[in-house]
Amino acid sequence: MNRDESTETTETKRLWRSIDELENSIEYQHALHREFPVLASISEGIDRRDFLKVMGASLGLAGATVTLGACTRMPMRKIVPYVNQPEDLIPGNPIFYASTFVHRGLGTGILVETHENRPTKIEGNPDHPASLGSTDPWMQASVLSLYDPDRSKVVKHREDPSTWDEFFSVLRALPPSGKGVRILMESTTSPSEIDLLAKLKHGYPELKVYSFEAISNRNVREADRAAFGEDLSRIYRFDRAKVIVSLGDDFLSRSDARVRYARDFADQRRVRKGSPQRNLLYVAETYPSLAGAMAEERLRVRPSEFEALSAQILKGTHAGAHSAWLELVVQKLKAHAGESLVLCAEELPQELQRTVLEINSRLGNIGKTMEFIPSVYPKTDLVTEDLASLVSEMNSGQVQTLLILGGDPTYSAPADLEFREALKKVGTKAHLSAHFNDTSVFCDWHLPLSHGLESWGDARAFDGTASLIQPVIAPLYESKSVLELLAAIGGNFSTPAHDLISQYWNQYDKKINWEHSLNRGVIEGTQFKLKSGLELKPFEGAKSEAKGGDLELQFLPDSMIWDGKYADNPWLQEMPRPMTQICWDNIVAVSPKTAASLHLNNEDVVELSRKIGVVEHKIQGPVYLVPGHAEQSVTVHLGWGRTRGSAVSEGSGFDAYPLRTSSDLFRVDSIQLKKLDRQHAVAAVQTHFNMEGREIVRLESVEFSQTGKSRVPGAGGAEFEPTLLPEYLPAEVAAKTEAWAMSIDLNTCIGCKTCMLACQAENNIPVVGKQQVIRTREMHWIRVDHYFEGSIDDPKMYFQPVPCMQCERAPCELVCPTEATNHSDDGLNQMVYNRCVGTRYCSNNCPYKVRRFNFLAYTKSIRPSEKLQANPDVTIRSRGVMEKCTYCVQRIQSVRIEAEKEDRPIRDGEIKTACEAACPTQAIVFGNKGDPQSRIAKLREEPLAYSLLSELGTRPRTTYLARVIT
Amino acid sequence: MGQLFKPRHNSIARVSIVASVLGVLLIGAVAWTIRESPYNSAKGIALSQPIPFSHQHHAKELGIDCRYCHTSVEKAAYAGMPPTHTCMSCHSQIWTNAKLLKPVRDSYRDDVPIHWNQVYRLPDYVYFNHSIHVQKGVGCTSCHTGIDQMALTSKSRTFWMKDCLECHRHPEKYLRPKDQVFSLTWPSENTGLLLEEGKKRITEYNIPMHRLTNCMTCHR
Amino acid sequence: MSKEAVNEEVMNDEVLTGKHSLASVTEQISGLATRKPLTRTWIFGASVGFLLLIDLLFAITYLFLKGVGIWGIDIPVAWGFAIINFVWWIGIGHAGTFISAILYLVHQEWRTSINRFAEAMTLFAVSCAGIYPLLHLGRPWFVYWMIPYPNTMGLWPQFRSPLVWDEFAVATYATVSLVFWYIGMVPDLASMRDGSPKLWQRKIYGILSLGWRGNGRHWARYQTIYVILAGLATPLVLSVHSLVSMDFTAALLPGWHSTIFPPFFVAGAIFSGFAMVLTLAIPLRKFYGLEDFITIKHLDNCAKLLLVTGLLVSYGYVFEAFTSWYSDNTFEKYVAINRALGPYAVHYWTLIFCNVISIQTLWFKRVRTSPWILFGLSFVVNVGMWMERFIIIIVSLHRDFIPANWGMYHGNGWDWATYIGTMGQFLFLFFLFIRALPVISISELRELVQKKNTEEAA
Repeated sequence: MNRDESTETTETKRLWRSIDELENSIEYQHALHREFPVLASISEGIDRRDFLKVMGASLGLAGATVTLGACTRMPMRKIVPYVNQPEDLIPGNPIFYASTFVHRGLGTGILVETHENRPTKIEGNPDHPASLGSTDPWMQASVLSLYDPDRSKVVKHREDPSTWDEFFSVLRALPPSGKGVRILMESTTSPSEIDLLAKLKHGYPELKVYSFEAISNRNVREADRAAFGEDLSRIYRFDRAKVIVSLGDDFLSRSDARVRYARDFADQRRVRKGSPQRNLLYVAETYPSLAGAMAEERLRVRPSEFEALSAQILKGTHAGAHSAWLELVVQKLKAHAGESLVLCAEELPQELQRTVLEINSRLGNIGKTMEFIPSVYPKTDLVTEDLASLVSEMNSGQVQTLLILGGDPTYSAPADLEFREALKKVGTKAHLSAHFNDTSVFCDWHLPLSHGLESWGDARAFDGTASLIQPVIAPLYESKSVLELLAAIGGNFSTPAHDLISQYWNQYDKKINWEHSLNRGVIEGTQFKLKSGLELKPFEGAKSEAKGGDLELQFLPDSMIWDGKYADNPWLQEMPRPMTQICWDNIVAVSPKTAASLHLNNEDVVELSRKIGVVEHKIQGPVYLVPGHAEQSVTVHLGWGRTRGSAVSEGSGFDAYPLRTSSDLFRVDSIQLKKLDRQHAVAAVQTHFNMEGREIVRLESVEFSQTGKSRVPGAGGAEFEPTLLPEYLPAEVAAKTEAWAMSIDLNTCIGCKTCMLACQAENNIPVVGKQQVIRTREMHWIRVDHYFEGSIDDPKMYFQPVPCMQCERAPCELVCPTEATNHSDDGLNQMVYNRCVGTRYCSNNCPYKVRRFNFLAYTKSIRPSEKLQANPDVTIRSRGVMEKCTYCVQRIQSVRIEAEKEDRPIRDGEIKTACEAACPTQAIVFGNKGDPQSRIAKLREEPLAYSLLSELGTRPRTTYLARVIT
Repeated sequence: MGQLFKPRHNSIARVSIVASVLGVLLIGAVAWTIRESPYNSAKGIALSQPIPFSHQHHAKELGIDCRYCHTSVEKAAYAGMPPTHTCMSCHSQIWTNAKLLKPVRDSYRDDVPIHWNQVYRLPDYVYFNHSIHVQKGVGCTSCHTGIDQMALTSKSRTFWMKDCLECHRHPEKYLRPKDQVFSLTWPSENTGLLLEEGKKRITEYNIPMHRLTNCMTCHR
Repeated sequence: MSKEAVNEEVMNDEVLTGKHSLASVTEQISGLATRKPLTRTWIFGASVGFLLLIDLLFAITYLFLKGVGIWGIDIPVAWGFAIINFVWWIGIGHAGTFISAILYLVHQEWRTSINRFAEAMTLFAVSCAGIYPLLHLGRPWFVYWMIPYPNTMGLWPQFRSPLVWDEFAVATYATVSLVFWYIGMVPDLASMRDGSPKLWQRKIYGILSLGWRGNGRHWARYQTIYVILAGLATPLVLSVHSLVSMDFTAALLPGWHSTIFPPFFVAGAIFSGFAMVLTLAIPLRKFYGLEDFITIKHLDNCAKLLLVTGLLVSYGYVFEAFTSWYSDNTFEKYVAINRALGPYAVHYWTLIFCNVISIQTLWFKRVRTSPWILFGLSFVVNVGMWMERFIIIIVSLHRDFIPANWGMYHGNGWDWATYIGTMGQFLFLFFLFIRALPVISISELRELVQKKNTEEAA
């Protein structure tokens, strides 16, 4: 679909914006600082204070006295060796430590790359069931959060700096019975924390522990308990499911085992010659999700229609609305009873969860594609998940001391609970948090929380496997972990966290080899046994419809900053969101048709309002047209509009929580929408989503995948552009050297953008800020293009990751006047930053536009403490030089040097590029195409293989596997 | 009206033509000299150091192997600077109270590292890896020429890109028998017969000639 | 045909009108520089030029402090005003050498009274163009890396890159034009020397005129070298802009990658060059009473050349459209459509109006012979030629192969500040030239007078 009309409006505004900058209007400066204080420094608007300086300098220039770049001698530098060098440390060689990343209480195994003991990069832990070596965006970005300069650094008592000891005196004064003492924490599965909690309850009989997650899977577990009469956790077996039906559940990016599930899902649709079979996915949803984009048949439904859908699926009928989709789904499910899987969004009400469970059980999926294990979460009598009851306790004055461990309930609690008000009624309030956020402000004590890479701990994975969290760096500030604080509450102020963990695991199981477990990150044999012979309680019958107004509202967590938890992370802020390609802002998403009927256009600011109790709650945000969005409904993403805690998150986006109540966590059945005559510019890295009939993303049939022929130039029997040019390498050299190449499978790329983050972390790519993104100057070396095909209202959606193509006949190379970009023998299109003078001709001549230019001194935006994250093996690029994907040449070189030292060839798969390693679905494969046995060589022979714009004769080394459509 | 110019102005005019040409050449020559001078390249200029460490004494006269102090030269990109501990392993026995060595003892006692002034400094965008060069038979003294003659350490080459390229374009000049890599006596550059052997070693060590001058061999 | 009309005809055939003696010519022209008091027009014009020049310095300094990011350029449109203006100025810089070299070789004596300032215009235009390639660099302080010299890196520039050809082409052109201009001026400088009232003026002109005494040998050598230089300059007129066009044709970008560009660019260059000659000549003759030397005949001839080159350019537009259709290449075809109907359609149709439609009026003698209409027309053409470069560079870049990369470009305040600044530089230099040097070749004019007078005597 064509988005020109919308682009035009933005473009004209863009012109004005730049003139504002020239005039340097106060509004602009304010706006800019609101938009992104940290990056204000690199705005190109002229600063009045500079004026005279510049004026003087320009006179100097007039006198031709400005000698820029006059050859200067190298500055003196110091070498500071150790006094006593650690045994295992070799300066310059990275060391990897196994640890665990925790999201919503559940652990995913990671390997932390450290240089001279400073963590720089996160990889997945192949030994961990939830990772299998891959990662998700949050894991990649977490390393930057460690160095976040806005992290709270000292204990604060009512704004004044204080110490842990002073706070401990508060703990010492706790009533021995624990009367009136409440702990509010985020969900946890940490065995040692749960153990400590149990001990606490024992010590303080009247103490109560609550847990709260703004985005919670509570409904699912409540439904399971109601159905089976015990606490259970689910395991979905996508590796066994041939037909998957999802009712609004984006299991690819949101589920508790998203990385693992994405892998299992993708493994079932790697269509190759000889293996045509693939699983089928049917999705009904309101806002287009990753899963929706992968679906064979995607159905647009309003949030209130899920009840009806589930009821029909249960009955196996397909009357009334959406009959076509229902018929297909029902038929497919029947055909694949026992090897199908029906899912629904975790926020959907319990009855609905129960219905879906019933569907699965009637299909005989339980025990096959849907398995159950004992709950990985603490017992309900130990930790209560009901925030409402805590609030009522607070309001009734039963709570003297409230200890909030992590989270930001004041910001994210349902609006109807008025948590803030309740908080005022509590005697002593302490808040353990990484940032001084909205909750901290209303607490007496603010306690700095340690980052996962600084602390000892443990967590369970979705299947119960326990893994250890080990610190790779000493705490940067006076912070403590939840575990340490729990111990302190229990009166144990001295024991180091390491001992707490090791003691727990030793008493838990004498046979555990501590060293070995630390090494692998995973503790063997801790996986939970599958529940068998589960008895499903009788089903009362499905709720067949839900109330829906003429304009419904749906809440979703943001795909990058989640419920606001990760809003402080610049990388995640600047990650283009799936489907809209917008960063630095959330939007009020509406379908084009609905927008037209409401006379809305992109970037019009609207006011959404609803009555909660007697109070009218309002939020304001910019409209954005999202193709594939359901009609008569709007979607807003949570987690934005933070007002405190981090310079990065302040003022980006708008806060949608005020409209969210405990009864309407997922949807509001009727919402008022008022158009204000304001516009709010949003930054989108892509504004044109129509393929214009060009073969950018190739679509092929299953038949072709079996009978067709590869169209990669040069690959066996493939179409080949006749040319008079010689091979770029003399044959005798070509024989001696590797030929690096990459293959990207568009069939299994789920568009999650993990590759972009991995690349950013690996290659020292700076963020540029909203203003620069609006000027389309983002720096990501690999990008994920989105395309819509078909009707603008209900299009098909495709993703296409685009790194440098490393063309064998690269157009960029012969136009560079200084030969700063040229070809290596092993087929890398080398970009030598320090030889680049910045004519930008290469970018103009790059058909793929994968080159990125440092228009301004973007690296200045890397804040001092964040510099510690920089990868020492990659040059930091200065202002005015071109840069681009290098196939992670630093990784190639380090492996090659080792190989050459051992005088052996490089093994296939020995080199993994950052994007390849991170990709949850392993859609990216890198290797030496010169070796016919290598995976890459085989992939280039696949019938589905093609190279982008091959008609130009650039002979790309990066090739694609076409998307298979039915 | 009178004459504007006198006859001698003619000769001045003629001279000035020649002079202008010579002037241009002269400027070029001066610029060149300055560039090549130690002032610019710091070649051969010994920096002041907290301790006047003498490679001549330790490496040549005492014959201590390079790797005794520069431990990671075979393992990593950096040859490695000895931790104070290494110094003290000897100097806790000998010269235990030499005034010169006070900084070493202080460092060891107070656990404060010694701050050496860096002599061999490559730009940050150059990724030189000691281990592979040593492994492929390039001797220490090929780059650190005459290190064993230095009472105070100084650069023996300019370490400009063309120096690196010189070797990467003609490795035969610098390839040694692998057991001679750490020898201080082996000539820093092969000539005559040695050059012939060097040529053979290119194949023997399978030096990837086609790759040596790739930009990304050194720049990443 | 009426009597006046006849007279007018007669008048317009003259390349020199009014009653003039050798002395009066020298007097009037060299007087401009040496005796006449500063006129108001001059002071006004020069100071406007100077102010804009300051604006240029300011813009440049801020650019060097902050980086090219202060401009409107982005990805995909990585080239913006800088390159547009570069090509525009270089184009303008063509008429001068064309007039003085080519017309000289083909013995067009009417060139006599316009070649001098046309050449000056060329030099100033080239000086304006020359700074842009430097300014648009990301790291201008390393510009010398594009020059081949034995450096510490052991590297050379890449001679396959059109940008390197360009740098040589422009440098050569500038040098030859300068020498040509200066040599041509030597005899006049001598007469200035002799005519100047003040001693210091005489000394300066004396030095500049390299001891010219106007004897037979001097004249003989002068003629030889002048012909040789004219011969040297002629191919350059064609080569420079051909090479500039290579900056685009060498790329594979649809809208750039076209074989028609070199001749097309040269035609366009001379087109814009003559437009600028008219823009300068008409006020010049008006305010300095040079109507006798720069006659209607001159304007008429310039206008005719304007028409011819304009038609060549129009042919270019037609064929760009035709080939893109004929190629049946998705991308080529889209470029043509996008130009005419895309977001930059306004620019495109402005271009068509300025360069194709407006010049059709030049078929009429009445238009060609009325100075102020020509003056206006020449402005329109200058705008048109700027638009042409805008279309070629921006519109080709902003929507290329992969739709996901499509973007927009808008020049912002800094782009304009720099552009207008270079106009200031041009103006200022030109006004200095008017006051300091003979704007019309005295010696050649004297030949004409001589010829005319003898004819009349006979």
